[in-house]
Amino acid sequence: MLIYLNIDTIGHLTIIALLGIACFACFYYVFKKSEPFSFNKISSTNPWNDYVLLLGCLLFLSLETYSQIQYNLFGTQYGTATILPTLLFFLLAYRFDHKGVLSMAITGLAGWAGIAVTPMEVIDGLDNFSDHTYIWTALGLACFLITLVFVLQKINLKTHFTFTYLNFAIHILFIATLAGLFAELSHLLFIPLLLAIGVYYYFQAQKLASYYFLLFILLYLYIGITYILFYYLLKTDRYWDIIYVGFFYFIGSCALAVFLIKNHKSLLKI
Amino acid sequence: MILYNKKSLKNLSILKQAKVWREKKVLTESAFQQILETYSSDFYTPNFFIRTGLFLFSCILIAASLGFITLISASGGLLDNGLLVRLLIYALLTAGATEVITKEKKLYRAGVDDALQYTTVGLTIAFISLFIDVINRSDSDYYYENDHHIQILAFSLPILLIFAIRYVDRLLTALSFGVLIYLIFYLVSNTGTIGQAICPFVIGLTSFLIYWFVRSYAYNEKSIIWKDSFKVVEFLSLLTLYLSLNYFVVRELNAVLQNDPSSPQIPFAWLFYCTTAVIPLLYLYFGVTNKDRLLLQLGMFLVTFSVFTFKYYFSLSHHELTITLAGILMIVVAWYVNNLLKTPKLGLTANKDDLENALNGSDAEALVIVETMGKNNAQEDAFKFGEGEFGGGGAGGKF
Repeated sequence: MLIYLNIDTIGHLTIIALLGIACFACFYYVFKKSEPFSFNKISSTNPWNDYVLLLGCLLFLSLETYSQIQYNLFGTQYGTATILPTLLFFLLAYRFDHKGVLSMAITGLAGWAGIAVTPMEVIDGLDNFSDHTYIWTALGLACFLITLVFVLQKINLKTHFTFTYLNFAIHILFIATLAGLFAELSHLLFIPLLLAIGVYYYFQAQKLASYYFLLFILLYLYIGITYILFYYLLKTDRYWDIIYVGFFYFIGSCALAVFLIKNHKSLLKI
Repeated sequence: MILYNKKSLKNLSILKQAKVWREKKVLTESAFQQILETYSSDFYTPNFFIRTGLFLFSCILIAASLGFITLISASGGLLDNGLLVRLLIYALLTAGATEVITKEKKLYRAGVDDALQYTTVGLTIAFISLFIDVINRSDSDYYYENDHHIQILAFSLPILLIFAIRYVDRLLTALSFGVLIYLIFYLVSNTGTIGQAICPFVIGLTSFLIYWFVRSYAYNEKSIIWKDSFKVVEFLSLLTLYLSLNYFVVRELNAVLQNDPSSPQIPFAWLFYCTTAVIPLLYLYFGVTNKDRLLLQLGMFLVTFSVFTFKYYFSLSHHELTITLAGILMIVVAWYVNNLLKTPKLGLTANKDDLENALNGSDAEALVIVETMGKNNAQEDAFKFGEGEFGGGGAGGKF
């Protein structure tokens, strides 16, 4: 704001230079101050490092946006413009062991792949998913993330990042699949897919002993199964029966869900 | 008086404290094990995510069950007085289910019991609203929308209070407090010009009295179970005490009451300028001197709100400058305080855990001694719960 109001007096190049210097200073500071790179989790001794790194990343984003708007740096090659910070953030996240920057990097990757994904928007943004190409892109992206996790675990690089990747992947996968179901693309494909994702994440939840994944598997599966059931029930056109069956279904299924969640310890085998 | 097993609840809070002390290495492992055995708590309290899941599915389950009962029992219209009886029966049903299930399964903040409790409260209040509506409509000469909702709130308040106490619930406590303050506001501000003039002071005084009462009498051995609820009341009463005397709030509410969108200057403005400026500083002062974390944090937050209030009316119209300066100032202050408090001073530290679970060394000692001697009435005197010594920030500076 301050910069924007004084645009007449200082000029664009100065601003870009200032942003660049500030950004560079941030990165320089963290490179100087932080612990050396390691394959495992780094326990930070200095609480400021994380914030300075985050500030640097945000400054980099504004720098890039600014030059794009003012000087059309990347022209119409928006792909390059998004993949550039994404790659930088991935590198920085791994170098400095920062989960926030990693989340930004994954968001950038998703943006590059053609969807606006932040955890919030995934939840509100079902509209974005109604276009069918998006569903396939999202599925592909999530599969890529899961493969990435698999490879990274094999070479044992920053295994504590697994949760961040899988967290993005679970929401993208399930929402894309549900969107596929609602859009009635192909029930033959998406019903098994839904169940397969559920099974896959069930094993992941067991491995990570994660209540969070267990909860979301149940929620998404419940939505999916309820939808499928009522989709086929409504085709029969016997509405009074459907109402009765529906009530019995909800009572029974919810009781089952409560029972399952209550026994989460044995479900997760811990 | 309460739904849960009192002894288990007390043991739970003792266990919580003992765990903190074990991590701080005040308690030895063997002493901790002994405490674990003596104060066993058999509650089922799951993890947050599990609780959320249980809550959601229980809500659907309750809705579907009640819907099903309605479906098989409904004949004819639903919208006559039958609905009233129906709501009452449902409320009683869920209340009964709450009692039975919670006691049988030994649930405590487990999602299922939360869902049942909130449904019970919701149905009871729905019943009251409908009841008042039916009564008011039967006498058709007398019907005012405003009176109507104030009657509902007035009758709901005791219900909310009873359930808040019985279910040891923080949300219900907060709701009761809000309803109480609103009722006072409504009653006082509707008694003509004098009422409107003294309204801020009445609410401020009520808040202060509630805060003072909670601080002086609530934190004792008997009411340890409701400690969390009292914390909520403490926070809310401090907040309303400030807001009721804040210049911005008083002026704008006055404009709303007068139906005057131009929001004219209020009488005794200087008095409200003073209170707006002084109250947050008082909070900060008492927060530091009494080592009260709640007061300290609230004070910091309210200072910002006070600055906003003054900026709003005496703006120098350089918002971007103000924001930038404020940001820089905050970073500097944070950096300075952080450096200052790296070593504990005045019983305050930068280490969050220390502040959160401040402990009084002698109490821990007493507990360990009593524990190892194996007396069963240990809980009578092991803790000093009175006068805010416990929890919050009652540090003795002995760490």
